[in-house]
Amino acid sequence: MQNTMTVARRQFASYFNGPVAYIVMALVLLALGVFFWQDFFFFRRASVSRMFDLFPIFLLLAAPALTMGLLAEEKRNGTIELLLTMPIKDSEVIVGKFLGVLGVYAVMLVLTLAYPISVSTLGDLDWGQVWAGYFGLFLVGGSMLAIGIMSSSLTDNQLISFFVAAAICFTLYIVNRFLPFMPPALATPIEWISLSYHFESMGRGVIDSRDLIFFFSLIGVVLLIAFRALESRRWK
Amino acid sequence: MAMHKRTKAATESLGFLLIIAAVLVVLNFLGVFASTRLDLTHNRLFSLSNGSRDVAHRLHDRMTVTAYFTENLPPPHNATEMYVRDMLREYEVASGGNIRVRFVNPDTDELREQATTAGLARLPHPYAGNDTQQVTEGFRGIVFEYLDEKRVLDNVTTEGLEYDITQRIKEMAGDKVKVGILSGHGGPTLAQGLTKLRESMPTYELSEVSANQEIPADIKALLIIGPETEITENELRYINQYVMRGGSLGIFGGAMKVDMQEGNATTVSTGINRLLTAWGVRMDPNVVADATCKQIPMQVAQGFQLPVPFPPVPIVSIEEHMQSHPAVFHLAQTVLPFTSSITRNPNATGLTGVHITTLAKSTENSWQLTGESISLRPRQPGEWRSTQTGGHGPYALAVGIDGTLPSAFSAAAMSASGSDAPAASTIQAPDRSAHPVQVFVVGTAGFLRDELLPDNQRGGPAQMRAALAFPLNAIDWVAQDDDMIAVRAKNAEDPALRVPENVTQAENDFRSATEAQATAAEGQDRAAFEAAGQHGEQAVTRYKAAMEAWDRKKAMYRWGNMLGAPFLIAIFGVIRWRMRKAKKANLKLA
Repeated sequence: MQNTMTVARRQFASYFNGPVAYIVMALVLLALGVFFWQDFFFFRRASVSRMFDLFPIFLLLAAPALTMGLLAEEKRNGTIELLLTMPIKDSEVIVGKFLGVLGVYAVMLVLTLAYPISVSTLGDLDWGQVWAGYFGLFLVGGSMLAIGIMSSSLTDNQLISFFVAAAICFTLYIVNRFLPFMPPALATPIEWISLSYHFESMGRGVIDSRDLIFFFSLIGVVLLIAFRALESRRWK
Repeated sequence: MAMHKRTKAATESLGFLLIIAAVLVVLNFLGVFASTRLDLTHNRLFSLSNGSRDVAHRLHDRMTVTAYFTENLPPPHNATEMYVRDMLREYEVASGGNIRVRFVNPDTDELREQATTAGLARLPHPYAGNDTQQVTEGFRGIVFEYLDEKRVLDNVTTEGLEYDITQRIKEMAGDKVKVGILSGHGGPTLAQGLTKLRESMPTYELSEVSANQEIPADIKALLIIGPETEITENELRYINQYVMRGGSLGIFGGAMKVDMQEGNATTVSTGINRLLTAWGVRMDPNVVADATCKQIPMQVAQGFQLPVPFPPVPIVSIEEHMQSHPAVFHLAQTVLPFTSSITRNPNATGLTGVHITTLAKSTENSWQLTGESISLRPRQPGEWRSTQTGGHGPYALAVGIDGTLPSAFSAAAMSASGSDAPAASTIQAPDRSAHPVQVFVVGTAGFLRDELLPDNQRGGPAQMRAALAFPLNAIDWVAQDDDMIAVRAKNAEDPALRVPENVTQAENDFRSATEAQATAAEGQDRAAFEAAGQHGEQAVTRYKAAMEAWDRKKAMYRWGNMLGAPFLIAIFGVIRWRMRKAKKANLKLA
């Protein structure tokens, strides 16, 4: 655990030593601000539910951008070999890096708190709904970041990692929008693997154990795949 | 050997991964059948309310609930079944085993026949497939069976589902609460004018009751709805006696008679204030007009109809601190058409332990329309201003009184009201009510009348529920049957933004001025046109000032939030970059 936290801390700090985190965070918050606030007053409702609709869409690009270099770049530069020779397990490397990038994402979420705080001064905002929505955003973001790490573990090219992760996240997020065009027999299972389907009720203010199981399972499986990809270097 | 070891390690690793993945798939599958939910919304909008739990808990026999849902219906109905399963499971748990839920997929002729016989229809569900619009038929209904009774809920959607289910269970299992409606004084009756209200109250046994004799004690609440003729002293004494014996009362209007055909309101002397003054309030002979109001279409030149503000139908916001009262529980706003104001009676005595709560009041931009006959015809907004004489709001429009009330015909009450000592009467009543009672008073019966309620066919049940939420809550409160109150509150929308009142007022003024100018121009009335123009200029100035102030505030919020966080990140990034650069420059080899 100590090793994991050390990797996480170093990873978190390294984000703020380079430009990527600043650029990604600033762009996401700028885009979110523009899309959320441009017609906020038109609807005349004291609600941030629209922010919960918009944020995951920007994450489809932001999460792969934050994670694309995590393992791919280290593999390309050969620094991963150095890391793996240290007295540290592969799983600790993967989980540590995941927690590090999750910390960066949490900072980004905290910065968006300005929106609900502003809205609460304009009307009676339902804070319970807001906290549930944030928890949902944390899990959706966590899932996308885990997918990004998995993608980064499969290649040593950052661009390939970015596009593979973006494609997987996009598919998983948007798949339930195409349900009306699918055979009815497939609708329920396809819907079940959709990120937005499981996020929907949290955005409304309800935390359901089924959604939690789904998100934790997804994060667990993709991190396991990343672990296996890393581990496979030992027997290749 | 090394090769064999590597293959073994790879196989073990892959096997481990597959096992974990399989476990997680099974966990997700099991999670469907054993899940739990945490509803963090302010009103617990997505959880079973206490009222619904109580209704389920009070069942004393087995209720069978059979849900017929065809499998694999096209979206969005494929998700409805899951929602219904969750909700029915909560009822099952709350009932302590008396509710048994069965889900049936009617995929055979026999089961389809069973569903049809139970009273469910095969519904068409359109979906897009193979470049054409296709339709699949299926069932989406629930059948409730309890003792010898059966109720059906067909065409199930997620909207208002809890209300529909709880109402059906209550209808079948609960003893119907008896509520009387005072008869013999004009106004709407159960057969004419209150039919929509009657249909919306299936858990009540409504009957018309005369107050020319003792009011039966098994009536939990008596409603006086829009009386138009005098209630005699004997009738008032019987009503007073009923309250003193523990009965509760709902008074809807009684100071004005509104003729919607003619478009006017006239004062009526019903005598209802003889009761109310003793209990601390009185209903005033007026109609309250408010700048925050509904709009109605008005015929203008060239046969066009334009929506214009209609101040005699105020939109009343319920303040948050009032929303804990059962009659307005979690209701954000309501509409009170043609309502009189309610004022406190400072001379009332013997009100120790009696609580008078103002439940709804008009805005500061409200005023009273007074006179023997008040015209309620629609008009240009500017014309309403000429009716603004005397004081202005806010005015109390609805109050709730509860506690042990004093008799309105005791010697003390008569003397406080300046009346002579009570004449001897055979109608005896205690000097105080035997138990705490509830009296609800609102200055209008308009919101109960068929002609002012939404059309059930066009508006759908959701609109009807929203329109009747306030009066039904009030009736539930006086009848002390509060199961449905919290469920009704769940139809509330997201809370509205607090738009400054001067902006709303300025919007109305501006609209009024431009319309007055247009009317004068059409009528080629030069003097009126100039007057309207002058008035219009002032209105435009006020409008511009109010809007500019509001726009400045909006821009501050908009730009501050759009650019604030990215700017902070950029500043932090630059500072950190410069600090790191400085640190690097100062690095010296030891």
